[in-house]
Amino acid sequence: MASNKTKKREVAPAPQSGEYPIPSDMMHIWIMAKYSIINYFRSRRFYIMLAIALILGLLFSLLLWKYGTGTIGASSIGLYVGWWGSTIGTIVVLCAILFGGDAISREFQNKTGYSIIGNPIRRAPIYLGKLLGAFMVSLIVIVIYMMMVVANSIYYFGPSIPSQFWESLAFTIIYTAAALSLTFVISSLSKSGAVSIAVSAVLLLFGFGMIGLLVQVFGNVQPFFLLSYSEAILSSVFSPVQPHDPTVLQGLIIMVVYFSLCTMLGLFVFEKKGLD
Amino acid sequence: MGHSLEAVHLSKRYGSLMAVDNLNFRIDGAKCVGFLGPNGAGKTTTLKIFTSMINPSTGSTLIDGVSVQEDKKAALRSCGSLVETPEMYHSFTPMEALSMIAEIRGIPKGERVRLIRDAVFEVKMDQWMDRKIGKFSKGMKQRINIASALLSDPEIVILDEPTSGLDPRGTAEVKSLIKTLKTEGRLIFMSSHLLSEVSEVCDEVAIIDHGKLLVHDTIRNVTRRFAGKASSYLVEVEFSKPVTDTKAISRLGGVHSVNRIDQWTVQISFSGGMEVQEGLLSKLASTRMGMISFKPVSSELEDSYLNLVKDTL
Repeated sequence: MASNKTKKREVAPAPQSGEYPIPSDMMHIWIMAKYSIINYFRSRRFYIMLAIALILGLLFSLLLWKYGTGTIGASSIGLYVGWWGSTIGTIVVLCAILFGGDAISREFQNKTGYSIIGNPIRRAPIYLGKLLGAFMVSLIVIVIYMMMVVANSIYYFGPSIPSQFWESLAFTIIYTAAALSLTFVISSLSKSGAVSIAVSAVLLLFGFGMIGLLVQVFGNVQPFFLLSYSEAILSSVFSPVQPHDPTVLQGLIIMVVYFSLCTMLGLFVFEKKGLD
Repeated sequence: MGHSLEAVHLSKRYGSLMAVDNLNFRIDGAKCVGFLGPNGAGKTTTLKIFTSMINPSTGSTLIDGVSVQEDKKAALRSCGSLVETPEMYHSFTPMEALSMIAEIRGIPKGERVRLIRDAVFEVKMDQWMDRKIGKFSKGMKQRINIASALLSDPEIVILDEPTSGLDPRGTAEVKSLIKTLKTEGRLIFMSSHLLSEVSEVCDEVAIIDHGKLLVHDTIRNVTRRFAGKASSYLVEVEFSKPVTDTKAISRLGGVHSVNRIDQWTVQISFSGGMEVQEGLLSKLASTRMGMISFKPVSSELEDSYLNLVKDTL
């Protein structure tokens, strides 16, 4: 096989590696995101998540078709609150667990990181690229779910979509980024995919809720330190009576702080972590 | 332009274990250097530090004079590596997995497919280009890993047990490939447990034990300095006629013992180094017993290795 290489090089000389300009960090982020998305599209969990969103959407559609709009809300706002507002937080959390729960730990456990990290690419773009990939895949699921809600709203209440929905959608996107950055940091702290997924699931599905309840009942304070507390603004934005606890601003601050701190912490851990 | 790899006061500590202990060496030019040592000696740890997979506790590694720890992108630009047995995404085909590596390495779109096809062809995996990597055997994955390491025609190649998991044909092909890379003016730094493999393809060896460098020199110098320290040597001699008189062989100078392996083959233990070996060979040839082969049971590099590593225990 060696002689073939020599022969080919005589015909069409290939530049040495040093001659190729190494892409910028931003380009590396995009490359990592692109291949992460391809990998997600080939994964069972993407189709499980898509199925959950579709089944939930179909169930609500069936409910509206069978029992009329009165079951959820007599107006388009009521439909968005009763359907979108009450379920989108769970969809986001499930996306964060399934797409972020073992995104980094899997690279260590399956040794896939060995084939990437030994190349001229800094670790931060690998981490951020994978985070961006998980975010974009989550957005695909959310958009498909959103389209089912909007289609029902248009069918029953006409083409007018309340402006609060777009606000809620914007908050959902920020909440998705925050939830994913949290599961990514959990994933970067572990070398076992199963452990990091389990920790992410327990924390996001039960842990935060229980801590919040305990703090509110026994401490009589609002759990401003919990990401799940901010989730309420995804539905409260539809309410004509404002402000709510948390207010939109408070909710957004919690999300942005979680996203920033978790991303920084995750990058720090990933930078220091060895492929032992 | 000459290329170089350098470890400067390199140490890596895991709790109380010193995996690499103040390692200093420099390799430059177009050559193949074998990195030898027993299990747990610190070979893979050193290679991982060179490829930025782990950070050193102290010291640094330089590739072409650029610190891997300070500027990884510039340092690894002209370096291809295969450390341990990495996995690629199982859902990817070799074409997709290598496309990702090619994009990371900045190979332009126009050249990407051709280079990937060339690399995959070289490791004899072109028939499997569009199959999922998850279905591949360990040896097939290792071939794709080798293709990945050589994808951008790197000037420096770091290989950690490159023939691991390969069948005999694959092993021979990889050895041949390494020899070709050497003749193309590349610097190859490879770890291996197989001393015969290192003897065959490498020009120099660096032997490490307990994280410390024991020796780094040409294979010839290492064997000259350390192979002769063995107290006795073993050669296997084959004859065309059945050996009836082993006592005649025992009486030859320097011979300790003669063990019959079968009717035609004996193992001779002797002391005295290469001079005695030369005399023994000529005397056996003159006995008219029909000697048809005379081969050392252990190689000089193996003797050197065993002497060096034993001395540190």
